[in-house]
Amino acid sequence: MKKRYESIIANIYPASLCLLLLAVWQAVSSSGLVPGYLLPSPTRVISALLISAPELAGHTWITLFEGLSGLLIGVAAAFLIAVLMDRFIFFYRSVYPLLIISQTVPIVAIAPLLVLWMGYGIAPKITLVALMCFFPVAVGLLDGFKSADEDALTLLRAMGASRLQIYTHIKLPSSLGGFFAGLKISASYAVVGAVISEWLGGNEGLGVYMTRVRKSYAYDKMFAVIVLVSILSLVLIRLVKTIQKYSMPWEDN
Amino acid sequence: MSILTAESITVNYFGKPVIEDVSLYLKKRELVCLVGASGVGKSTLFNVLSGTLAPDGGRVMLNGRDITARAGEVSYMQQKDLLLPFKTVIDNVALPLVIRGEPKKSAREKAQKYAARFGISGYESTYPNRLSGGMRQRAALLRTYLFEKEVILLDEPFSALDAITRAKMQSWYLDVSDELGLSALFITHDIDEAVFLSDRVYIMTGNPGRITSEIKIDVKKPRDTSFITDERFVEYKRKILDILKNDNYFNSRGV
Repeated sequence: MKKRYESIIANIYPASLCLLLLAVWQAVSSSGLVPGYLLPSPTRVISALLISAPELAGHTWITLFEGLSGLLIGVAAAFLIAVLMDRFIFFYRSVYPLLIISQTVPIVAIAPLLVLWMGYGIAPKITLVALMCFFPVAVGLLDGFKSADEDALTLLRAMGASRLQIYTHIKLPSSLGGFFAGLKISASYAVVGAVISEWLGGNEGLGVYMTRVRKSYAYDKMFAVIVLVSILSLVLIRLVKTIQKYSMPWEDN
Repeated sequence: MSILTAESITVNYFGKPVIEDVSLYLKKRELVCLVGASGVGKSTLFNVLSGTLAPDGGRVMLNGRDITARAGEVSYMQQKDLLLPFKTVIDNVALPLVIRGEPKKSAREKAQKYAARFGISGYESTYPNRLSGGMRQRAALLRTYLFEKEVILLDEPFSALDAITRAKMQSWYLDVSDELGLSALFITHDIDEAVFLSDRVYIMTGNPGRITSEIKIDVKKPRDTSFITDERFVEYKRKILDILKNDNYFNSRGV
């Protein structure tokens, strides 16, 4: 009961600020300080979102499909690499520095190359999302594996545990916290990553739609897509949090 | 007939002996305490006995079998309870059985049989962070017991508990030890604990550490707390304190 009350209090501040900003935005747009077609008011954005909902639905599914597939592939690859890095020290020593360096390459710059290599289908989009989602999960998992209590590992070895048993009984559960921390970041990249890759070419998806409405100066619809992308990302992060809650029942919060 | 014997164990760290020529034995159903100041090498000795550390000299025998430097031959409980936070209490306790390949269900059932005796019933499906210090220690003890080795090594299992809980745990341990027929070697700093629990007490002194005295506590079990105020108790305690007081190495360090 007390917890609930505290969470309401904690939410009041960002909610009030948000409402305030929306009010200022609405005032600026409707007073004519900024032309309405350049900065459509929040009410116009909402109505654009509702009006274009039918045509947005198809694009949304495509983008979501790309985002989720990329996320899954990225997570699977991260899992594999993290286990290999944890298990083989030479693999860790040779691969880890390269992973860090690879993060300094701007992903957006790679996107056109992916289109060049893979065409205008969904393959380059899924690849881009997978590339973006891979790193946070890999690092989170690896840190999690390393955080396993050394004395507990010794205890299990003394019980005669096999390598696999050490992973299933200690290392994997110890890594869940780090894994979900990484997954939350990756989940927030997934939809945005898919949208970015769609900008560079394709026939369907929210990114393609966004490019179209921008070219036809329908900025209210463009803002509507931005709102939609934010909502999708928030829902995805929420989903990850819920899964985390059920996979880690020993955590009190 | 002793089941575990250590024969002139010597361990060097960086060429310098930390324990030297240590021999001891443990008989079936016996509880033997090892007392001595911190740094005298008690835990080092335990690491040798548990097989996680290879000694530089001497050997460890279990029922006439050489088990020197072989882990997993005796049950070993460290100071930390090492309950896994992400497993329920019953799964923590049943872990040695599961590791050995027993199906989860029967392992749980087996562990469940002892839950009441080890004072964790009602908490089987909660996580260890909900347990009190004494309960955690009893759960860890049950897990050690379910490892099902003949000899149990306990490295200061009650040292982190408050005085009242510790006293309760000691009485409880004596009862359980008697019921289950445990044979245990017990490290402690606490001389009262040593006298109260032990059939025999080994005293380690000096640098390098050696076992310099062995005292038989000739008071039959079961004992209850009235023993603590008995004059024999005080006599044994004085004897041990005198020996530790004459430990020149530690006197020279001002301890």
